[in-house]
Amino acid sequence: MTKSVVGKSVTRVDSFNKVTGNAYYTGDVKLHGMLHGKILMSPHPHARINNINISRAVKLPGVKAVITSIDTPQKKFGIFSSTRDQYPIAYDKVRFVGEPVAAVAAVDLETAEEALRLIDVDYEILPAVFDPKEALQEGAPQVHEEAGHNRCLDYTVTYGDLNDGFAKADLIREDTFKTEALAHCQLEPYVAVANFLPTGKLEVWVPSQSPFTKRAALARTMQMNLSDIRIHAIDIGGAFGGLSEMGSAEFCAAMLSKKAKRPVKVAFSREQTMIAYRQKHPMEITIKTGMTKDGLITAKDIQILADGGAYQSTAGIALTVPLIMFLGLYRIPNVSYKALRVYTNKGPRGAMRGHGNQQLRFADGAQMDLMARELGLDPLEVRLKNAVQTGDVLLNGAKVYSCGFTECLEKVAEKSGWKEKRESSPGTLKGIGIGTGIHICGFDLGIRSTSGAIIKFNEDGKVSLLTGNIDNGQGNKTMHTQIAAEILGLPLEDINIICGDTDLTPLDPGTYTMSSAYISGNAVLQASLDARNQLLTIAANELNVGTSELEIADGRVFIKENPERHMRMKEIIWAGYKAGKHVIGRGEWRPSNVTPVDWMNGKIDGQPTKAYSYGVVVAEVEVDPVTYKVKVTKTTAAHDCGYAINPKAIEGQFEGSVAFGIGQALSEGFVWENGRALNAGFLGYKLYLAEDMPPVESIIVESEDPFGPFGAKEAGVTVSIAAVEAAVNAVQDALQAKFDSIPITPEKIQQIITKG
Amino acid sequence: MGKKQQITLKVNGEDWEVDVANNTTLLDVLREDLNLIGTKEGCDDGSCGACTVMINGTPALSCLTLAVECNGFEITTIEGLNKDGPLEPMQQSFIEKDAVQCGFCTSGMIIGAKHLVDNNPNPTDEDVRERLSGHICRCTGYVKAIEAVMDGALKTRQSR
Ligand code: FES
Ligand code: FES
Repeated sequence: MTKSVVGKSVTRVDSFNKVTGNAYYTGDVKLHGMLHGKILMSPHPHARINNINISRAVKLPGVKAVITSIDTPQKKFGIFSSTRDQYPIAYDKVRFVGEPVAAVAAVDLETAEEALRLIDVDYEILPAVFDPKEALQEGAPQVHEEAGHNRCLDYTVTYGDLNDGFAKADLIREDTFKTEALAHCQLEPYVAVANFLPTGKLEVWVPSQSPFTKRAALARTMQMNLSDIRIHAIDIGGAFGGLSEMGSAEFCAAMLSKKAKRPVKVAFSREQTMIAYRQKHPMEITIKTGMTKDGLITAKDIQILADGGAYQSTAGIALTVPLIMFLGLYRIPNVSYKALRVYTNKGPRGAMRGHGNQQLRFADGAQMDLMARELGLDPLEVRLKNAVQTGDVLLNGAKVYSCGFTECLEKVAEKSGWKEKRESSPGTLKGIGIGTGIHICGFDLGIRSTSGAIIKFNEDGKVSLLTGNIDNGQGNKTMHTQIAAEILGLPLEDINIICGDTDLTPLDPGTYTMSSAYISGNAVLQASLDARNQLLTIAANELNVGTSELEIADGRVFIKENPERHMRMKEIIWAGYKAGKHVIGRGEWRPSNVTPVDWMNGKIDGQPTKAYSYGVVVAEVEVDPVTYKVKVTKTTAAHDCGYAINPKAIEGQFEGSVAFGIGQALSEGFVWENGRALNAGFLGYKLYLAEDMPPVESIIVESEDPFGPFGAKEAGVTVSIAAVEAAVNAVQDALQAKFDSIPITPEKIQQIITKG
Repeated sequence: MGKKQQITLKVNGEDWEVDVANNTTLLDVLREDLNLIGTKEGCDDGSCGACTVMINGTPALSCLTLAVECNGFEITTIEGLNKDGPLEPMQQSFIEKDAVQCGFCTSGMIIGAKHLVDNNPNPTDEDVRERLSGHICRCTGYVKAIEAVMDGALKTRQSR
């Protein structure tokens, strides 16, 4: 089938609004009588709340509502029913700096802020624990007393026979690596607007990755009927995993609105956005690897200790997706995987780009290069030798239906000049490193595993496309519009897409687990095919031919053998109306035979995901001998996205991913003092800037997945995972040294260089 | 709340009179009083560039600028660029080069970039990177934004 819209670098459907200032984000929402809400957050990492006195705040002129936990239903939330351990507003104690304690709505921001200062909280300071190892010790402060310990997840899974695997190895090496907590740094600060109506219904605007997830948690914590809450579609200023769960902004805005009987906007500051919602899991990862002298991996013994912060959040997923993906990258016959996540008195750690998978890839990949060095092997060859291939059945029984990993490795090596550059780099402070990434495209999310989409034809022959999936900036709106346009033979501008409005659009898994193209895209495809069949049936009837004789393109349906005989879309739609028919296509899609995962116990046997995507990055660096700074001079990135629906948008994902990945490797990370992040802001938390950014050579690899829409999988996240490993390995190569923690700061480099 | 004072502003060619407190920022006046929501707030401490607007022809961070200090000034926001119809070359280039993802940084970037090429019609790669380094973008990795500014410069030269 020749394709006319998919596979083309089309103009995004939403960029006109964004370059003219007409995009509409949550912070732009202004409703009649809207109040400004502010949240009082705990200054202490661990304290009992003995009393909260709001009487002075309530009396301040202009204050319309003050809430504390006692004004709320006091229901905990969490992603699984077994992991609901967080109140949206602290109840009996606070467990991290930034935990909400009370909230105020007032006529303006200044009054709201003044009111916060008038709330008297009687805290009884408790001993706090910040280090995960200390948290495991006997007598450590208990973050959740009722649990009786600070372990919130602890399991070991073994495949094969480790002893046997290590016995076959020529080299066995054990290393421990550490990563730091990270912030998503979506440029849009976290914000929510809520309007509790006299009818008892609640309207909400909030940036999210799935309005349906947020609605479910809101309904639970507010003790409302799910369908009485409407979360509206809205433009979103980036997500990166950080908007996966409900947060206190929408909860407090809703509660304040209910109490004040007026709409309320709660906007977090940049600092609050970074400390008071979710962060990325810092991990300590110990890996023992056995390798033969020609580079075959014989066994891996992995132990992960994750600092989960104060609450469960995505604990089971963050610790188990690394295992699912680990098994899908290299063919390793014997694997043991121990996952341990502990509570500490730091901000809760949840999902962020690649989840725990990225941390493990950094550790595993850095060690792989150290082993290759010891054995005198080329790190690229080691990766090629062990790479998973299409058709492989993994240790957990999962089948890999499409895999362009080897092609990514080969193409990146060739384009980057890997062989020549590796030979020329010894003795200089220049280095080159390779990194690999894998991701799954969706997993079982219970009832939310199925995406639905609707195609509604309007009187003028144009289309409203409704999908529960949303666009955080990655280009999903354009992608879905392209899919529909392709099937319906319409130009992009004839399709108006409505994304993620809980009253209008069908349920969708959301923009996690890289399922937007694979699952939601398939639902849009099905809805489009359904509408197309309806169009053809009406036209066939009108033109007196069989549907198989018809073709659809350029906004019309025509007879293949006689293209002059045709009907325009509008004519077909009108003919339908006259015959009592509306053209409304429906589509739903859920990957078949996907096995539910037991996230808290690491049981992943079967087919936990239907598709794996792959990425490879080569990074070239130069270390400055005076400032000890690393400059990334060039990157080459390949990614198996299955099929490129919008190549330019995919390149954009690569580039953003490279910035994200090398930023994590070289500069990003929180600095802590007694549970307080000292650098929660863009001045202290160093993001990659335009002047730091290396060129990115992008290589799209298309393995054409048998189930993805047009063969598509996900686009880009594996590059962000691979880029971390690539940058670390490039620095290790430049200095012929080992780095066991990220970010690799100039201080760490200075230590290595001055030690010699 | 401090005493309010009246100021006049010419914003995107229109005259406005607004009452502002001593500590009100220009960003707040634009967004809250004039409903010009195209200018974004990403940090409120001068570290992200999302709030960049033109004040008397020079790009400035409106979150750090007090409204009272702008009395009588001319301000251009993103909404002012294509006020009279077609998109400015720089807006067109950001679309064509796919330099826009979530779009939250875009208004500020385009204002900054437009100023650069208005004053330096032939910017080097380094000039562009330096200008864009005043703008944090978490989505794009800047590659396409740099291409867009180069292309916007070319289009601007051709349109003169
Ligand atoms: S909002 Fe002004 S610089 Fe960030
Ligand atoms: S496009 Fe999202 S911050 Fe720049």
